[in-house]
Amino acid sequence: MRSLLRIALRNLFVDRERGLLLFFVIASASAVLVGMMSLTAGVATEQRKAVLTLISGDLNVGGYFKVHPDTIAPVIGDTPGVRAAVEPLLPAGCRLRERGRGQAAVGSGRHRSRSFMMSLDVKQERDSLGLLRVEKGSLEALDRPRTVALSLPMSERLRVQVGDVATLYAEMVGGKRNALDVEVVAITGRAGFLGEAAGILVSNATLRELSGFRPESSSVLQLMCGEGSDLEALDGSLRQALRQAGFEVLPASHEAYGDKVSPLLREDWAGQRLDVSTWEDESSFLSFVTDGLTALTALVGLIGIAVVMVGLFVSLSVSVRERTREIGTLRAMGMHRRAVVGLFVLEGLLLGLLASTTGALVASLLGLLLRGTITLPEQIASLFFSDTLPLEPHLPAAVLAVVLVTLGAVLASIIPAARAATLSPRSAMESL
Amino acid sequence: MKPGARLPLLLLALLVQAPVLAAEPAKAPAADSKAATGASREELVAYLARIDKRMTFTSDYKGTVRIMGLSKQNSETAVEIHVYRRDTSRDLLFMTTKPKYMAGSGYLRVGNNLWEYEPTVGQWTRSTMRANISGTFTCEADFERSRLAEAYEPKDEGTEVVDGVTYRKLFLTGKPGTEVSFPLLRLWVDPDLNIVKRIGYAPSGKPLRTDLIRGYQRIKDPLTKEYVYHYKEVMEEEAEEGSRVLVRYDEVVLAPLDPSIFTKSWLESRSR
Repeated sequence: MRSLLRIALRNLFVDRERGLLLFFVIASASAVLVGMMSLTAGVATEQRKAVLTLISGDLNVGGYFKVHPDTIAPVIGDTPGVRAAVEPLLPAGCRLRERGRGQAAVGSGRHRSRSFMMSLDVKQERDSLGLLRVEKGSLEALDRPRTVALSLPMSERLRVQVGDVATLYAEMVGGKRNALDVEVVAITGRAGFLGEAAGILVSNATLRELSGFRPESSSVLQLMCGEGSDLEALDGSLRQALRQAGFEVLPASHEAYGDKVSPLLREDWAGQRLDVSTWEDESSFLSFVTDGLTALTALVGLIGIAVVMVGLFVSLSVSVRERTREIGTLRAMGMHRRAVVGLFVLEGLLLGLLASTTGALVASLLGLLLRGTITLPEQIASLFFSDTLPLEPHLPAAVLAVVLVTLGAVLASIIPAARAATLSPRSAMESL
Repeated sequence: MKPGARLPLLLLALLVQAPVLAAEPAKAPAADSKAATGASREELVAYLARIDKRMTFTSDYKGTVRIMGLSKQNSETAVEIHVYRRDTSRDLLFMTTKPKYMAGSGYLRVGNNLWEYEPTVGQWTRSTMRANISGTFTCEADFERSRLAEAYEPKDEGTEVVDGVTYRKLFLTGKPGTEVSFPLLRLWVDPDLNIVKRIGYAPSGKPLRTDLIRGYQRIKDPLTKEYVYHYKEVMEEEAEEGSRVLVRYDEVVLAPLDPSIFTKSWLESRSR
């Protein structure tokens, strides 16, 4: 085996030009694959961060209230009761935050724009406020009654600035429509597609006044537990606890709050229902971004591996023809066919492993160096939930890329190796 | 000189200066402003109360307001609104009668709430003081009685002489907890207590609307036997797009109104 390894290594350096070209091709394929996986992971992280900041907790207990079967309001009337049922189940390190949600139109002068509306408790959520990018004004000012923070795209559409007055229009519990004059106290930065989906941010008190909710009510209790929590188990125990406390809980569905409203409105019931959802459910309408990037990564990976396989196949086939005499001599000296196969496969394996590892290393280092430095155009920034290229290289992803590319290289070398093994010592010697 | 005779001259002079005045920022004057007349807060509030009083009817009011677009982008605007108001109890109802597709829609104030009625769907929507009325940039304050003294805190900005006439300038800030159409307001008042120009601002100081009051009508209130000065013609200019409308207050009748007018069912019945 050691002699095979020595021969394989020597052969790699015999034709330096061809060896270097193959090394470069394989390393590039590996680097591109690692780069794509870094991008997919980075976008997924930025998306999760934006979702958890703006629209969802890791787990959510939301409410839907129907005064009549034909109206629906996103509110938990008995929020203290739900809180009492949920709090004993909170794992250590988890915390609970009360949020409001709904849809509203904002009017300023003759301009109007409609969006989802989020509300929060400014005093309780200073850390969340810190995660939101503020272009102008201050989110702390949301603590004042009748104030609003608008996303940058909304403020541009409405042509309002910090200090201007706008009017919020929303449907109240029971279906009546209400309006409220509010002062714009902050313009929030772009948060990907969420800038459009949750473009209106108000305090819980302002939302209650606008939507006609009673004091202490909220739309959703969000559990913030961080990564690594067993959300599935918690989801199940929450549902059970809420049912035991006398609340009606809707069956689980992988849909965001906004997508559930219309189907629920068609259902023939009245009163309060609760819904337990995960952050993945609440961001299901955004999954096309990460799904698309994953598909693109798979496609790019396949193309890269195909290029590697074709290149290596052609190169090794030429090599077999050029080294017929050497193969014949080795066979004449008693080398078995299997050893000849092993020799060529080993060449492919060595080249694939070395080149793909180098490529993966370079791509990972570049990813770390370039993270947060490359500014993206507006449309791509919305898609990636980040103003800069969100690269997040991970060791498992790099290892996977190395394994896949090396495997491709090994597979590509099998046929040329088998051809070399079929050469008889006699035919090899005849080529002299 | 009587107000009726002097106003056109004064307004002409103000119109010439309009671009300069309209660009004036909403910054409040310093307390030691040299131009300030030195009036105390109480005197200024009393001054505003006098303006309010001479514009307030004791009798019930019925009138027609016609809004016409003056600039290219809104030259098609022609809205006719019937206004019913009872200043003593702050009741207010106004109903659009023209154009035809808007006929029957209207607004009713119940307590502190302003409700908008849409006859096409028969739905009432709670509106606000700031909201634009009937697709124009007029707002509720254009139809109701003057309540400057109760809604605003005044600051003296001294006087300004235009074409030999001295106008008193006041800068008003909406009182906390009071709903107003413009959080900040600057007024030019002539010696006869006629407001000849006003600019409404957002809290940021951004100008929202400039009004030039081009004429008043003097109407004798049958209950008090005193003259009340009511707008005749107001030119309103939206600051953002520069579009202008002319608002005419016509066919004013001061006579008792049926209390049922100030109800939702009355407005609903108009479009049935």
